[in-house]
Amino acid sequence: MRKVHMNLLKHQRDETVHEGIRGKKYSLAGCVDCHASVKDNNVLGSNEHFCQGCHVYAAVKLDCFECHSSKRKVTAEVSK
Amino acid sequence: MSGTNLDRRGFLTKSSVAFAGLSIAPGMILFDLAQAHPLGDAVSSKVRWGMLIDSSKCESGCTDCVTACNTENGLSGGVKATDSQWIRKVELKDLRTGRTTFLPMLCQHCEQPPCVDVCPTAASFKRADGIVLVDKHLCIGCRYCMMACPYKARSFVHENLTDQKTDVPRGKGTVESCTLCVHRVDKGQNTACADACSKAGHNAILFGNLNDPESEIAKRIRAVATTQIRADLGLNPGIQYEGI
Amino acid sequence: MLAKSFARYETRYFYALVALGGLIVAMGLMAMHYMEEHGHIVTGMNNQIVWGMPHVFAIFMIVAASGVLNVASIGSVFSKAPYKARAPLAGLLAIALLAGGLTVLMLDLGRPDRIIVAATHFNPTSVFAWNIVLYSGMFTLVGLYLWTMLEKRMNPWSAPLGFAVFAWRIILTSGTGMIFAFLVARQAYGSALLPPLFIALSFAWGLAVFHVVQSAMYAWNSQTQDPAILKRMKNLLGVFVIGSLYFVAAYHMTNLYFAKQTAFEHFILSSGGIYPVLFWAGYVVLGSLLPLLLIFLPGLGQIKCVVAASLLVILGSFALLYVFIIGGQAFPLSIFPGFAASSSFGDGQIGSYIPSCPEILLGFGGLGVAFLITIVSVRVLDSLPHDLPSSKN
Repeated sequence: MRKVHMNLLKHQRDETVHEGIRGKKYSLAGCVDCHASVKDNNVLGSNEHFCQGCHVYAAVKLDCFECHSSKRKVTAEVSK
Repeated sequence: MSGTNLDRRGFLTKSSVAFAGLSIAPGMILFDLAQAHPLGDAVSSKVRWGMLIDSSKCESGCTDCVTACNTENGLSGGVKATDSQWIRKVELKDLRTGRTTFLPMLCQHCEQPPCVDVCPTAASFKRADGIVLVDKHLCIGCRYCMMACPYKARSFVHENLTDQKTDVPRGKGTVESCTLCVHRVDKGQNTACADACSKAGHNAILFGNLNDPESEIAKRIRAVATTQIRADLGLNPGIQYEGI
Repeated sequence: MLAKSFARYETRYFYALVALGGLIVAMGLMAMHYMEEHGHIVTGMNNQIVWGMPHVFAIFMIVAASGVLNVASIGSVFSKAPYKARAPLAGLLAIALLAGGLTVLMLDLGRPDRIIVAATHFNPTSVFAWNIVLYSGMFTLVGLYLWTMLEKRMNPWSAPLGFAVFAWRIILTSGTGMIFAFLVARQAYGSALLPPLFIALSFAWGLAVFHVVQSAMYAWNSQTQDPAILKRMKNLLGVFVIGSLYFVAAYHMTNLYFAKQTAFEHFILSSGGIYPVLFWAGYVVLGSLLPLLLIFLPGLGQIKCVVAASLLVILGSFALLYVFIIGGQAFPLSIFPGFAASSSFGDGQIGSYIPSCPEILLGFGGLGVAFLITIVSVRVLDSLPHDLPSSKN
């Protein structure tokens, strides 16, 4: 998963954006839902957070969350 | 990809067989297939999403559709020249008679969208069900689509954004416009603006499947005189108006 | 005395110029970085005026790049010796200007980091995508053309390649015009007249740039131009300026004749504030009529007049492009013909645009790129026109 998650995400992304196939296994929102921190429901914020921690370590630019929400959806909606 | 198509073909065949005996009009088959879009399936060109907007019911002073759109899609609601506006309320004054009308203006989801023609990277595209979208993963921010759009429906994200909605990713340096609430439509819901208009009691926005002869929108389009904006351009917009 | 001391420090002057060019480019890059960091909010561009100052600079350079090749084409395609001697310089200038223009265009993108997507995802119906092919083809063809001219063994291939370059540049300039000609709904654009208009403009702008660079090179090397050749080339510039004026007039006359377009023409030609001023004073008087006087008036037409005329033509080109690109977008899009429209999104209102410092610096950065490529390449490659003493044909 560490090596190929970007490929799975990209494949799923094209199917979702162009063909409207939703709710499949490798959706970005699905990743965030499980991997967000229990403290602040986020995958970003510090090097303890799931996505940021690894990407900082590997020095790979993390482009997803410039546009996508990095927060767990359920709570994000409730906290509004 | 091919697997999905085979599944769908199988599904369509089965349902066609099932409905063939039951349906009275051939249109019935179309209707039932058209609505059958399970979440995990690809959208099909049997559906064409559209709207019929009755400008005579669009109340002066009410901007509920605009507010609902902003809330749903996480737009700031600002009206600076650099702020995104996916739907706007336009006041029209007939130069000949002086009659004033109001209508909401949004991406017209053309059948022949100029934005899709001009986009160098094919980031602007039309989904099989007629919804015109920007694939922001491919958009390089050249703004040629904004030059080409006859309806000024598109906005460019001029600043860094934070706190985007989970269902509506948006980001600086890309072009965006009304998605016809694609994330809601795929779940079988109405668009946010249409819901807000009904909630306000105006019912000026009717959303539905133009390809389904039995849908409310198709029936109404058959019954009353409707117009497309800049119909002279021959783009066949999915958003249609009455009462202009 | 002066010439002697210049010759002594010539190398130092050259490096000073390189440093100047480098500085301009660096400022352009800083501006671009600032724009990318903050977004286009720091420019004057907005959702009404989506293309601004960078596009004025970029389109000037791209159009002039193809126009400057005309000098080479007259040499290769029509076998005129004085122009043949100038073909290498024309080719170098074309590459330099094209590189400068494309730099600006690319760095103004909302996501310049994704420029590679333009190569990996190609939409065959997009004029922009066609132009990407045309630009890369132009670099390749002109590069090969230069090779055939500068390498003696390749000389026989120079004529056919010159012809290919000529055909390619006509298509390329048409392509630039088509970017606007294919905009179906905008009153200012969407006209089949635009590709030929752009070709006419490219002739004048390209030759003007060529005159400026050539004169600078002769002065640098303390040489004087052959008066007969100068006379031919200045007359050609005059003819091209008249040709441009003709197409610009035809474009506006057509619009004036169509009732649905008269409001737009009224805006551009008389009531639109800065735009009519730039059009009449900038393009027509300073950029066309005055250069024509400098070229054709008896008693004038010497080298200084030609250089002044060329600089004025370049100035006029910026004025015309500003009116065409920004004025064309400022006039409200006619979405509801027959109605007066108003909304929170600028319907029915004149769009406002105030160019900001970063976008102007970015534009100058592009000019800096063209300048750097030019001075370095004319130094390392033999591109100073060498006229045979007897070339009077």
